[in-house]
Amino acid sequence: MTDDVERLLQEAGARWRAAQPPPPEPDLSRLTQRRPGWRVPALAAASVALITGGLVGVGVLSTDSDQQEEPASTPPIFDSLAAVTVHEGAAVSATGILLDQGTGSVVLCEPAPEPSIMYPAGQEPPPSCSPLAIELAGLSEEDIAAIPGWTERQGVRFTGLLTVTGTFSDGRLEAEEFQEAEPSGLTVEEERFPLPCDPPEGGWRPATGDEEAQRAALQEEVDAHPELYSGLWVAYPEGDPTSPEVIVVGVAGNAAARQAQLQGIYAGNLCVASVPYSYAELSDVAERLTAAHTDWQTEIQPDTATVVLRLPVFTPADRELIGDDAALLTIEPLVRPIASSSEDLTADPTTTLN
Amino acid sequence: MSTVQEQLDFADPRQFADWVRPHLGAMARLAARLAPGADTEDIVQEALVRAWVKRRQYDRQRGMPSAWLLAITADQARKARRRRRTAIELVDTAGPALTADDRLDVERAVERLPARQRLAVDCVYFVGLSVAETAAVMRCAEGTVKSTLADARARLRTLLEVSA
Repeated sequence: MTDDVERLLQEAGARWRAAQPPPPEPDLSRLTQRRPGWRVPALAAASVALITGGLVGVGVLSTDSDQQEEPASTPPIFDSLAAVTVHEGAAVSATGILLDQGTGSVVLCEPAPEPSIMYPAGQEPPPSCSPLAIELAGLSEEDIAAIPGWTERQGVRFTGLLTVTGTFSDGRLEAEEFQEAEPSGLTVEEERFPLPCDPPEGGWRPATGDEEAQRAALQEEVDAHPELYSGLWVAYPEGDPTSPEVIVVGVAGNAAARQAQLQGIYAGNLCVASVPYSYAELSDVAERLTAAHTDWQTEIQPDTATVVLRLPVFTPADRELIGDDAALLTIEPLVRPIASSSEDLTADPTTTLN
Repeated sequence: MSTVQEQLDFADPRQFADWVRPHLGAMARLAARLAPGADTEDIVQEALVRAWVKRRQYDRQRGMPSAWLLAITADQARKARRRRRTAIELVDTAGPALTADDRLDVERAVERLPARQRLAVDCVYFVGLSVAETAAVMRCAEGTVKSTLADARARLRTLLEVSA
C-alpha cells in the first residue's frame, strides 16, 4: 500500500502541475517601483535618485510589526556582516517611530516597551525610545511639519512606525524619504526552535502527564552546566502546539556522548543536538559586547547557539571591535544599508555569519 | 562560516529577470500550494521584489538559487495565507471524516495531513521540488524532510485504508 501511496501521490502531483497556468513574467516595473510613500519636499530630488536605483526600503526592528520582522523572511544562512555594515555616506533605511525632541531635533527609534493596560483608552503615556535610536539630520522645521501622521500626547509629539531612507553621515541619518511601515503576518516562530532530530521508530509519543517533573530535572541539569549546553527548547514536530512536543537540548560538543545521560533524566520525547557554542561561551560574548557599548542589547538564543546583537547602527569600527566574536553573532541593527558597498562585496572570508 | 561570499550584483532588473526565469514555475506552484485561493501572481511578484532588494545578501556558495528564491516565495505565501486565514488555514485532523467517495482522492487525504507533513508532500509531489529545495522551504535538514515524507505516506496509507 505504501508503494500505492507513492504512486497515487506522484500521479496526483502530475495532474495538479499539468492544470496550473504558466508562471507570470517578472514585472520589471514592480522591481524598480517604490511603494506609495511621501517625501520631504525639500529633499525630493535626492529621493528620485534612490527610486531610479530600484531600491526599496527594508524595515529592521524586532517588535511586532511586519516591517520589523522582515529580516526573518530571508533565510539566516544568507545573512552576513557585509549586509549590515554601514559606511559613512551609505544609503540606508531604518524603521521605527519618530519622536520630536522639541528642540528642532527628531529621533527615529524603536519604542521602549511600556505597559498600557493600566490606563484608560487614549490616556496611555506617550511612547519613549529604547536605546535603539538615531537622530535624523537635514530636516528643517518645514520638513518635519510635512511628515504626516504626527500625534501629540501629554506634550510629546510622535508618529507611528515609519521606514525612513536616507544617508548615514556622522552618526546621524540624513532623511530623504518617509514611508509608512506596512503590516505583515510573518511570525518568528516559524524561523526559530528547530527540531534537528528524526522521529524515533513509532514516531513521537503523545504526552503522558509525567513529563513535568522530569522536565524540571532536565532544566536543572542544563542550568547547572552552562559550559556543556546552549540550553533547551520545545519543538513541535508537526508545527502545531497541540501536537506532541519534543524537548531539544543543545549540546556544545559531542551530543551522542550526552544522549544516554539526558534520556535517564527525561523519558519523554527528547532530541539531543550538537550546537557550536555553549551558553557559557555565548554569555561571555554577550557580556563583553554590552560592556563595550551601553546602547547595545544582546539576547542569547539557545536554539541557534548565537547571540543576537541589537544596536543602532553597525559601522566598520564596530566590525573591528567585535573581532572573532562575529562567529557567534546575529547582528540586527536599527539602521541598515540599502546596498552593500564595494568594500563589503569583497569582504574578508571570515565575516560571513552562521 | 563560508569563504568569500559570491553575491548577485545585477544592476539591471532585466538581468535579474533572466536569472530568476528558470525558477518561476516552481515559485508559482509553491505559492499556489501554500496559499490556495490567494493571488499567486501577486505572491510571486512580491517574492521577486524581495529577492531583488536582497540580491546582494544571496551567497551562491551556501545554497542553490532555487532554494533561496523558494524560501522567499514561501515566506510571501505564508503572509498571503494569513491574510486569508479563515478560509485556508491548515488544520491537523479536525476536518470531517473521509467518505467512500474520498477513497482514491489523494488530494483530499493530503488536506487532512498535519501541517508539516502536508507541506513536505506539497513541495515534493505537487510543486515538484527536490528534497534539498524542500528543506530550504521547511527550514530543516534534508533528513527531516525525508522522515516527514515517510510519516506522511504512512498516515495517508491509514487515511486511505480507513476510508476504503
